[in-house]
Amino acid sequence: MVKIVIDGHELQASAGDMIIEVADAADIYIPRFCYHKKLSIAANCRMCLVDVANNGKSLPACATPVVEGMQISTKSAKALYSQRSVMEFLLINHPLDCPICDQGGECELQDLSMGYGWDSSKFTEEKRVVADYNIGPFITTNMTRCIHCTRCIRFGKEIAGVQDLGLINRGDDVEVRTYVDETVKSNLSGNLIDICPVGALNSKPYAFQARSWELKSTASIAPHDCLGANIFLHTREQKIFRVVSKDNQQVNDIWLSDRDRFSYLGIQHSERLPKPYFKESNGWIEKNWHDALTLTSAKLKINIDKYTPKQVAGIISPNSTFEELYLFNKLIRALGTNNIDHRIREQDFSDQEFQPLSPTSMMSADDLQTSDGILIVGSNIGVEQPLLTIDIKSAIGNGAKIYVINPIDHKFNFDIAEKIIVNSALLPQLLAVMGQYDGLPGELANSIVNEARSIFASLANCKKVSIVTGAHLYQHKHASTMRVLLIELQKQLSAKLMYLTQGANSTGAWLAGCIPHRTTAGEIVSSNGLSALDSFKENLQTYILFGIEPELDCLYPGNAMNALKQASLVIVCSPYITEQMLGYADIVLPIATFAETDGTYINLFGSKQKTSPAILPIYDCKPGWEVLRDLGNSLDIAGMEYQSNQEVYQEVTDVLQQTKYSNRSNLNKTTKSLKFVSQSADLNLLLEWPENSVDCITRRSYALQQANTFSKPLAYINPEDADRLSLIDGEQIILVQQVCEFPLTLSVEQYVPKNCLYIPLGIEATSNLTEGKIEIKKC
Amino acid sequence: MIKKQKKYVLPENLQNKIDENLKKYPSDHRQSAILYALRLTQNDNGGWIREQHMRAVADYLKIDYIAVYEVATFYSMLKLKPVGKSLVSVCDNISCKLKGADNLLSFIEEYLQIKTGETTSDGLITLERAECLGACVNAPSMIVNDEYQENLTKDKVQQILDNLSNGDNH
Repeated sequence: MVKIVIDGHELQASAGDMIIEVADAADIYIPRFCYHKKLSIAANCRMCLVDVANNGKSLPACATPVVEGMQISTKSAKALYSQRSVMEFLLINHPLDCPICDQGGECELQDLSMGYGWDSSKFTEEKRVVADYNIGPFITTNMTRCIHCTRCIRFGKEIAGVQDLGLINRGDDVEVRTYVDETVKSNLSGNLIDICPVGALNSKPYAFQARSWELKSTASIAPHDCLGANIFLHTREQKIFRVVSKDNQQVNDIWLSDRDRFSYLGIQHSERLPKPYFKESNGWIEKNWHDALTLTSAKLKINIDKYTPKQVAGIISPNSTFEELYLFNKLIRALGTNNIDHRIREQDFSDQEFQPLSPTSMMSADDLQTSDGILIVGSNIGVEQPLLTIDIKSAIGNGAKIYVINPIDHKFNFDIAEKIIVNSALLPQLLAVMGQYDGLPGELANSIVNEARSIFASLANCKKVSIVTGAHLYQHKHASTMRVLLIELQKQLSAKLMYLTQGANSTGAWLAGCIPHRTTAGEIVSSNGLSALDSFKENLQTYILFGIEPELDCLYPGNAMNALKQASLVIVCSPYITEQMLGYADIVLPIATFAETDGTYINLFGSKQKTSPAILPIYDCKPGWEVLRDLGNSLDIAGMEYQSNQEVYQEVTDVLQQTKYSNRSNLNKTTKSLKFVSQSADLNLLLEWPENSVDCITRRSYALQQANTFSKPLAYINPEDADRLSLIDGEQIILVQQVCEFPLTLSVEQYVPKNCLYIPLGIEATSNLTEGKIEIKKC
Repeated sequence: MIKKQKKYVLPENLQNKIDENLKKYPSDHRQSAILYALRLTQNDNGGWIREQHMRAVADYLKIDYIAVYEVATFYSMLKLKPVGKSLVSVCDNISCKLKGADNLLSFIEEYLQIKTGETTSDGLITLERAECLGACVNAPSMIVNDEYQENLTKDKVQQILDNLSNGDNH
């Protein structure tokens, strides 16, 4: 520790800290542009010049380490003169266009020129002009305003892991640009808007929409992935204008993914349903809420009486709030059925009895950062959880090694030490080989077995190992086998396991009881109901859907569509109405989105995060919890008389507190028989959701859709398979499945493993896909 | 039908040379070899770098494209536009200027019927101005195809240009 004096305040600091860090900690403000606490030090703007005693020149506070006895003045005549001179210099080429600049009012340059600049400039020559260019759907460029602080460039290198922007040319011609004419590729690029201190990089969807001082800010949660990034919704007169990041060290730090930042564009979409909508003999008609609820409950009662409660299934989106999930559970169970599920993207439920109370991870983001060995199994983590890659990158910075086992060679924005890519059918065998499990079909090549053993050996040498698993495990045909093997592996390596659960509130759904074998707080039900997939395969009579569009949200959308089309009553609670929905639904009740209601989301680390409504529900929508409550009341279900969402939350937390059910998994080799499949000669289907089409809101954000790369109707196969089937890249093909045909364009890619057909779900072209064999036919 | 463009890959002899150069730097600083790799590629491809060459260098060094683009646009010796068979770079910095570099430049422009930065219509000679060549002691000076030409006079320059026009590179 050293003692220094800043502006007369005696301060303690660790040797090696920069002056600006010490000053920030002591709340002494030093002006700055290029310095950013999360980025490396560039010291190129010189705005933070301060006066250090016994030093001829003023020194940059961001790049000057403190030493014992340093006397620093940030406001002496010399310091102020230096700062003002730098400010005059920075403004030489900066246009005075604040009135037409979106940054105006929240601009660091504007603020600092008021606080630290002269009132006029000696510069009378012509200002330099730099052309703007298109870098994608999220960010506008006004490069004449750029002051070359290089924050955006350092952000790309250090945080996003992809350097999209760079400084080209030199001297007077220097420009911040992307490579030739490319757009920004990173899915964290929206953060550039926040870190740019001037109006050079601004939000494109927000361009010329509002002024920052007119906007009201409401803290909320982005419910599109299991992290639940903290956000502020900025609104004016019941309209959402933009989303900015809310600082939370444990969750998203100061960053946001593009998905979380621009999903708001889908909230006020033209497909929003204004009023309850009913199918009658003479077509669809709108009804008011009172009639709608009476009619819905009457129809539901008739249907249950006619076909028994066993013919009812309730399927809810895992992106619903905890309260909605709890009420949904209460409603469906009261109807006399246990057919309730939120696991719309899973197909192996055989180990559900042995699962813990909730799939909460046994670790925090901090644990991930401090691991020295990270094994990623079956996850495209950069797409599933873009923000967690920042933690992984900081772990790498601390010397961690990353190992990857995936069914496809996903591109990551961090360095990987070793990776094994096998066909998804072989994933369970590969995990078994790593854990030295015997009795395997032995189909893996020797080289792969050796690689797996070597990765295991490297991980065994690490002090702190984390295993991260995600969508490819959840969607796997033998997910239960993989889960057992991962738990064995975790024990052998004394590792911590992180499940990237599907949807924003999977944990909440397990706790609230939206699973067919347990109700709230893990209480076991008398007889297991049907899972989401099974209830569709059974072709039941009544379906109640909440917040999902099955044709785009379910793992085998075709199965869901077939079931819904033959059912006699389909009640859909959804914010949006679509053509497809009119085809299968009988009643559509409009519900509010996350921005219009309060609620709780439980993220993958188990932290409960609350939102409050930023705007009123648009049109005649109602918050989901109110719809469920009112429906419960009109069905005369006892104990549904809640006055507020808070009461619901209180009730469910009380139930949870009384629970004796342990959160430890009983899943292990003895409780669950392992199933290994052989790799068949047929093409093995590998499905994935495009990163910006994960739920009904993101699918309707035009900016997100423009940036969606995987959402084209393409089918991907390996070059060897293409040769074998004599197909060529770019060819039109038809995927044939029983009665359905999907016309797609073929893309031959090296990163797809052999015997694999990789196609996107969540798009119209594949919305009839069912479980079962698939064949490729030439056009 | 979507036709994918065939990707340009650095030829093996260049790869070997770059590998040799990479040995000079720490293994996690592969970007250190950008400048060397770009110069090799430029010499291998008629004196200028096409967009696909920058990609090939970045792919080979396993770095982001923009990092190569930054270097390629920074140095005036790296050409991103076609150049003629011969490249004439005339210094117009202080010493050369005092010794009449400006007159020399306009003489060459007139003689070749092109402006600075342009290439003759027969594609033989590209004329450009250069920053200080470090040859002030023998100003005015210029570089013709990597060779210094010093103590220039109009006659001497005309002689050199004639030789170039006749296909003699030196």
